[in-house]
Amino acid sequence: MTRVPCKRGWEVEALVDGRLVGKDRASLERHVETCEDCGRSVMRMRELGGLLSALPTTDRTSLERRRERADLLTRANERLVGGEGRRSGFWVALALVPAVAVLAVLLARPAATVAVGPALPPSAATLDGPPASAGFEVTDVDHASFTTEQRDATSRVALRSGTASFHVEHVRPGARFVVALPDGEVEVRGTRFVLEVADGHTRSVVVTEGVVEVRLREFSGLLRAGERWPRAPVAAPVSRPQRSGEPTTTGGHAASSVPADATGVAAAVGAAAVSTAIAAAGSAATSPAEPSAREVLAGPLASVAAEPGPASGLTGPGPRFAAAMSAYNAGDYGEAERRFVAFGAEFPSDSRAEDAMFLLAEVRARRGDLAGAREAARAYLRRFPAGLRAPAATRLARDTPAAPAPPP
Amino acid sequence: MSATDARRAPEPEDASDAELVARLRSGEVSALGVLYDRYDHDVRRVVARLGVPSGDVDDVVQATFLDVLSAAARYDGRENARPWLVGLAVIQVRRRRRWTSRLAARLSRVAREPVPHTRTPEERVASSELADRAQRALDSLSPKKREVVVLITLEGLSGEDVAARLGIPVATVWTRLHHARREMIAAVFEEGS
Repeated sequence: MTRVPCKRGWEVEALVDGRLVGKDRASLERHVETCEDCGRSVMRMRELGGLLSALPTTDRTSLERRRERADLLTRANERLVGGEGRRSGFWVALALVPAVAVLAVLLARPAATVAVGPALPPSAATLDGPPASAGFEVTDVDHASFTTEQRDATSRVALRSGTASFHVEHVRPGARFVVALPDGEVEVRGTRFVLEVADGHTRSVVVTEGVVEVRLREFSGLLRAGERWPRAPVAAPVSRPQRSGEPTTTGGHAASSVPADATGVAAAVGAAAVSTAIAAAGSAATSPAEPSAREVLAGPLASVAAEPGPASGLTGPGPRFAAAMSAYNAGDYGEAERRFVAFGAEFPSDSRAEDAMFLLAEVRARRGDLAGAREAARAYLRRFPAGLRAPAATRLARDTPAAPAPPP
Repeated sequence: MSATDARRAPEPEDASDAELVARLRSGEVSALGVLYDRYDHDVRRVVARLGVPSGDVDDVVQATFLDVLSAAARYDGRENARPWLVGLAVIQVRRRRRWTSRLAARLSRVAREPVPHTRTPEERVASSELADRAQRALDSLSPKKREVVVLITLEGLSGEDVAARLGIPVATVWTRLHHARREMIAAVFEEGS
């Protein structure tokens, strides 16, 4: 004869799991005391739970645990800064080499303004174009050979060889500004950029402000502020220029690091000079009355983060650090640098000061200010010799700019 | 205490889990360290109980906490991050299981014999016969049943939490737990009897 199980057996699990409350629970508890089936079920479930809880789980010594913790934070740090340790530093350095090569030369010889269009600074020789043409300025950076041509509303500069820096004011509707190159052309609507041509080929395009449309045999597409062609394997964004009138922390820092003999810039502090040149270019480009291309490109985030301190309501360390991180994540490294510097000065004992000090070195490296990055990294290591970011900071502190690579 | 620990300001240690996750979201790596200090033991235990061999537990725990970096943006803001971290651990264990399943499938073309989970001598000495049976019963459960047993019976998570972490209805959680218990009770208490 088959024994019939208790009809309330299905409720027992709910009792063990704590899903029964109030009268239901009290009722079943009374039932369990008298029902052999249910009592045994409760006992077995609890015993099973006890057995399972007592099963050994792996554990570690405190030393192993500390090691794993440090390893975790190192890996997390590498992820957050967007690289993989040494590999990141290598690619950043590699990406900076061509930009250094072009722009260090810019400092190596006195720049000579050789052609300008309308509406440019009075210090420049003016070559008036038609009313609808674009205002522009072409600077001979390194043996630039070019001609200018004005036809109707189109300003055309033919760059045959050498390196030239361009500053083009916002092109009016109906007007065009085109740089003709041996192997293509570049068209802009209002920007600053540097072109290098050699042996009948375009070697590089570095954009410091605005947007440039490049049409070459090897590449066609848009380059925005901070971008360059040929592209590096890992993006190493160059800073967007500072807002006019803003303190330029890196610029000031880097300017003092540039040796008098600027021919050694590329090998010594060339990247710092790049940062200085670009920041200075951006600062000069933007008049207070005129919204800059940077503001358009950076978007609302930059506007929010533009004014740190009590005036903007960012009074505590948390919001201030978050604002710096926002600028960092948005790629506005100039702004991020300014905010990290301010954070470190105002909240030196905050727990985030370590992150701020390290990220200051990181943003300087990303801006191309390797001398400033080294200085910041060394300051970090002095204060946090056993810090979480010490390995990465050590790399930043000892990295030196690589020699300029030959043109591709 | 290491130099790294000593120089940490007390502030992060006093912060709630929700604030730590928010700080991490804003790029503060040290917040992850505090979360690790609070929950690595829990995460490690869950990972081990879900059947990850002891040699792989460290990797899965690390992967779980690294996953926090990307998952922080989706944190629901609750004060206690433990259920959330346990859920991330389950996801990592599942990933590892899929990976090892694929690897095992490839290896099985060469050798058909499954590799048994070997226990260390210390584990063998420490375990009683009943405990041995319980371990075997737990190991013999399907992954889905094992997850609910570990999360509810051993980790004390609520059915609602487990349902949310596993992406299944609450009723399914209890159903799986019911079947898992029946199998385990049969194996542990009636085995050989």
